[in-house]
Amino acid sequence: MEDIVCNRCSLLCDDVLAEIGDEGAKSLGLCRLGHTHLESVANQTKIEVISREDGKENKLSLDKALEKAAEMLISAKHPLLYGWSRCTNETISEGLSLAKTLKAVFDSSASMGLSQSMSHNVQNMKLETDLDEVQNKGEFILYWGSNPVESSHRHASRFTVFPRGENVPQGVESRVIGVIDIRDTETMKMANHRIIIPHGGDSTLARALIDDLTGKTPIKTPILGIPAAILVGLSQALRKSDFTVIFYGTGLVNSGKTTENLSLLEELVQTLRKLGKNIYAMPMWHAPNDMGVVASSKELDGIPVAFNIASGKATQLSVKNTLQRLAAGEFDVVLVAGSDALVELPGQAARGLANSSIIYIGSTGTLVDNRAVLSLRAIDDIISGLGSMTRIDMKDIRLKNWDESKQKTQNVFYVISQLHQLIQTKLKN
Amino acid sequence: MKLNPMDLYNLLPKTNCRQCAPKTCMAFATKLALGDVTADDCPPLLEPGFEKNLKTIRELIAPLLSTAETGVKLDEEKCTGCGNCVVVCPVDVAVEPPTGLGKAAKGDVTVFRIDNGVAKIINLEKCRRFPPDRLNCRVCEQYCCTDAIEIW
Repeated sequence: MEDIVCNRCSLLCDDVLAEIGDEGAKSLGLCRLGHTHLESVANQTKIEVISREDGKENKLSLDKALEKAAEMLISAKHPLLYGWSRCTNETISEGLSLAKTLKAVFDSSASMGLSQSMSHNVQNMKLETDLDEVQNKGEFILYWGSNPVESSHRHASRFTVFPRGENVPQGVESRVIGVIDIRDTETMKMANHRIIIPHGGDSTLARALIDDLTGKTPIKTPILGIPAAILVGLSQALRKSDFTVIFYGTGLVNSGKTTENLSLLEELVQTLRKLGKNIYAMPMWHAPNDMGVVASSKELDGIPVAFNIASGKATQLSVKNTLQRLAAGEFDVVLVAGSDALVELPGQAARGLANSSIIYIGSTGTLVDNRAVLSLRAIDDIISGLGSMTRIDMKDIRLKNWDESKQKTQNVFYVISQLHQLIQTKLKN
Repeated sequence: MKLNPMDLYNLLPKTNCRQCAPKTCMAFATKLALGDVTADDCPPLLEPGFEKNLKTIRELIAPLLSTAETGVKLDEEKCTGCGNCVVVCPVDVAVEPPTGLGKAAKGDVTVFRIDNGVAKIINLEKCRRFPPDRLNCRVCEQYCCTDAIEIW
C-alpha cells in the first residue's frame, strides 16, 4: 500500500494508505466516507464524455466535447461557473481565470455560510489557530451547530477530542467536550456538556452565556427551556478552560440569523479573552475544498467567493443573489465543476439548475453528471494525486502522487485548462 | 452493560475537591465507568447527604465488578471508520505510538485498525480484558459514537 491524501472531506487526511488492484480499492485508515469515495472513482482510468440530447446519450471524443462546451459558454448570455468545492486550488484558480475571460458569474457552495463566516469580524479571512495546535492544546472543545461524527468522521479522533497532545497528555480525559445543537446528535455521545436548543435559539443562548460570563446577568432561571444548572455548567467550563476552541457549523450560521449569530460568537470570544483565556472560533464545513475556494477567490480583488465579472470588474454578490437567479432560471448555461450541485443547492435553486443547460466536469456518478447536456467525467484528484487543497484550518495540503497516479493526469484541472485555452483562442479570432 | 460516564458524573458531588487520584469529578466518573476506581474512592460521596447517589452508583457499577467472562463485538454495519477506538485503546497507543496522536494505525500489531473504511479487531487477544491483564477496560465501547462496539 502507498501513502495517499484523501480528498473526500475538509480534513484531507494525509496519514492513510491505499492500493488499487484487481479486487478493487483497499485502504488503511480511510473512514467509511473516504473509502467509499476511493472505491467509486478507482475504476475511472481515462476521461469519458457523454452528450445528452432529446433524452439520448452519445459518447464524444474529448476534443469534440471541449469544442461544444466552448461554443456553449461563449454564446451564453448569462453564464454561471459553479461548484469548485471538490477541486484543487489550482483548478479553482483556473476557474477564476475562466470566469474573467467569459465575464461570467463565479460561485460555490462555500458562499452558503463559509464565506460569510470568513469575511465576518470573527475571522476576518484568517484563522488564529490550526488543528495541530488544537490537538496539542485544546482543553475545551465546543461543537456549536456542527456534527463531525456524521460529516467529518475523523475530526474528533485525529485532532480535537481523542488524541494526546503537549498540554493534554491523556487525550479525551484531559479535555472537556461540549455540543450545542438542535437535536440529539451522535457527536453528543462523546460530550460532557450536551445542550439541545430550539431552532434559532443560538443567539439567545450566546447572549445568556456572555451576560453570565461578564457578570451582567448571571444565569439563574431556565433559558430556552434548558435548566439553569446545565447552562451554568457550560459557562463555568468556558471560564475554567485556558484553551477553548468553538467549532461552529452550518447549524449556527445558516439558522436564519447569520450576521447576528456570528457577531455574538465574536462577542463571546472577546468576552473570554478579556477574562484572560485563549479562545478561538473555527468554522466546521465538510466539503473538501470550500476553504480553498475562499482562499483562492480572496486573491481576486479581495472578494470572497461569489462574484460577477460581467462588467469586466469583479463585483461581489450575495449568495441569495446567485440562488435567486438560479431559481428564476436566469443562467442559460451553467458550468458545474467538481461538485454535485444538485445535491448541495436548496430545492428551488436546484430545480432552476436542473432546467438550465449544464456542462459538468468532475467525477462520475453524481446527480449533475446524470443531468448535464455535456458530461466530462475526469479522473478524480484522489487518483491523479496532483495539486493541493486547503484544509478547513486553512493549511494547504499537497495531494500525493502514487502508483495509481501514473499516466492519469486527465483530472478536472486538465479539462478546465484545455477548455480555457480553447475559449481564449476562439475569442481572439 | 455500557455505562455512560455522564450518568455517573451527574451522581457525583461535582466539587472537583481533588481528594481522589483522577483529581476531577469527570475523570473520576470515566474511571468509575471503566471499573478502575470504586465509589468508595470518592471521600465526599461517603459523606452524609449523598446516601441515595452512593447507592445508585453502587448498583450501576455492580455488574462491572462481577464480570467473569468477556468478549468484544464490532458491528461493521454501524461503524463509520472514525477511528475513535484506535486512538483511545491503550494497547494500540503502546504498540503503535502514533495512534495516540490521532494517526491511523498502519501496522498489524494493534487491537483495532481501520481497514477499507471500517474498524476491524485484528488482535483481540491483546485486549486488556483478556488474560493476563483481565482489566475491566471498556474505553473503546464508551467512546464509540455509533454504538458499533459491544463488550460483555
